[in-house]
Amino acid sequence: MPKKILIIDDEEDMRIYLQVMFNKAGFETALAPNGEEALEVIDDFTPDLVTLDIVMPKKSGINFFSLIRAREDMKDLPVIVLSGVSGNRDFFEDGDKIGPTLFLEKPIDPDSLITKVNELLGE
Amino acid sequence: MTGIQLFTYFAFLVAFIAILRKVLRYATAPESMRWELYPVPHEKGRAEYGGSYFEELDWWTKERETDLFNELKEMFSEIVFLKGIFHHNKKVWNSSFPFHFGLYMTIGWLVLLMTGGILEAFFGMTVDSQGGFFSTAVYYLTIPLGFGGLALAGLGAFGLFIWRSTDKTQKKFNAPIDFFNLIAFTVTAAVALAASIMYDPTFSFLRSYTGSLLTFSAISSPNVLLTAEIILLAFLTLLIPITKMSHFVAKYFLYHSVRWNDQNNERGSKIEKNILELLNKQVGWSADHIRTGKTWGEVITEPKNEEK
Repeated sequence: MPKKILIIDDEEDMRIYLQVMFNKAGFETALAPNGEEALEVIDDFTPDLVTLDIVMPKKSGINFFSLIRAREDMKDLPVIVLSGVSGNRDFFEDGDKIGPTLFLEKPIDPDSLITKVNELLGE
Repeated sequence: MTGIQLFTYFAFLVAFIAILRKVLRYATAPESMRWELYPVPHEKGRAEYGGSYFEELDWWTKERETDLFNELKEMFSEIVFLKGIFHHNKKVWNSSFPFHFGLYMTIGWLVLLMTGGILEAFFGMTVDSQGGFFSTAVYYLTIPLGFGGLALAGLGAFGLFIWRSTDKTQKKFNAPIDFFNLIAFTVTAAVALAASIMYDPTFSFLRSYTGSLLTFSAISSPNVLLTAEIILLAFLTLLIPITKMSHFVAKYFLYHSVRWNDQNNERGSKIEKNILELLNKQVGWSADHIRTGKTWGEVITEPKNEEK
């Protein structure tokens, strides 16, 4: 069974770029353009890892992250935050309830991202 | 629901009940003994020199003219700039003004956080630098109000703490709760500033937290400092109305019912009715010079035995 990754980003180009990259690496993917739609698909898709943008319409990455971390079944879900700005880095990296979380600044090096994903998934 | 959310709901519930109780108590209090001190700002054309409509020999035959704008102007100067303290106790004003102004900014910040939470939770908008005009305005206003308000309130509270600790006259009137309140403000402001600078510089998390309270959805604070910030802010919300820090309620009634109330007592008026009710109450305390058991009306109209 391939591992499943939920890609949450408001930029369509970025979603497709990540989707192609993860599919090539053997992962199954689902896409969401914002935190609100991600919350709608996350229970059905049951991802093994989430990539998350911060600045998005409807529900921001910070909002989505705080909501899923309050859920018992998702407090240990690996999350990779992909952002163009580093202003909220500490929010995602420094805390006792952040779970397995990694903050990466865009632009992303594809090989490095796949390596980080595999590390977080314990592969 | 997470623990901090339940505590926040509890704090707001207690605060609401406590403020409502205070307002009702003052609003239904017996007729106040008035100060008869002038100037009274709603005296149209007379407030500048401390005059009154009683100056007119036949004042009861003329229609009273009041100046609501001047009264509001006076209230604004007092509420925003603490005019009275500025003129009568400059030393206290130096700390009290930044403290109160910081509190007003902090209240504005909380209102904007709630507005942002509503926009995000109910209207599907994200409050950030790239949103529409209204959400972008909320985003940019929240940041200076939050940091400015917390910094001013914290510094002001610390200044008042120093003043209470060092002023020789004030020392006689200090109570432990006064120091506790000021320390609570100072610590809350310091923790909130530290948490915001380090982890939530645009208040995105606090906005999400506020939105989650409105939608009753569980949200987790990922960080001890952010959790401490929320708990302390909720604690202050609870503390203010149950201590004398909520003197703003009393101040409203002090100004309007005691200091500026110059309504004359006419036959058949509400004031006359209230006074008559009070005069029919029995004196409820005793002392050598007090005629316990009589009504106040009897006390003031019947001569004492030795005077007969």
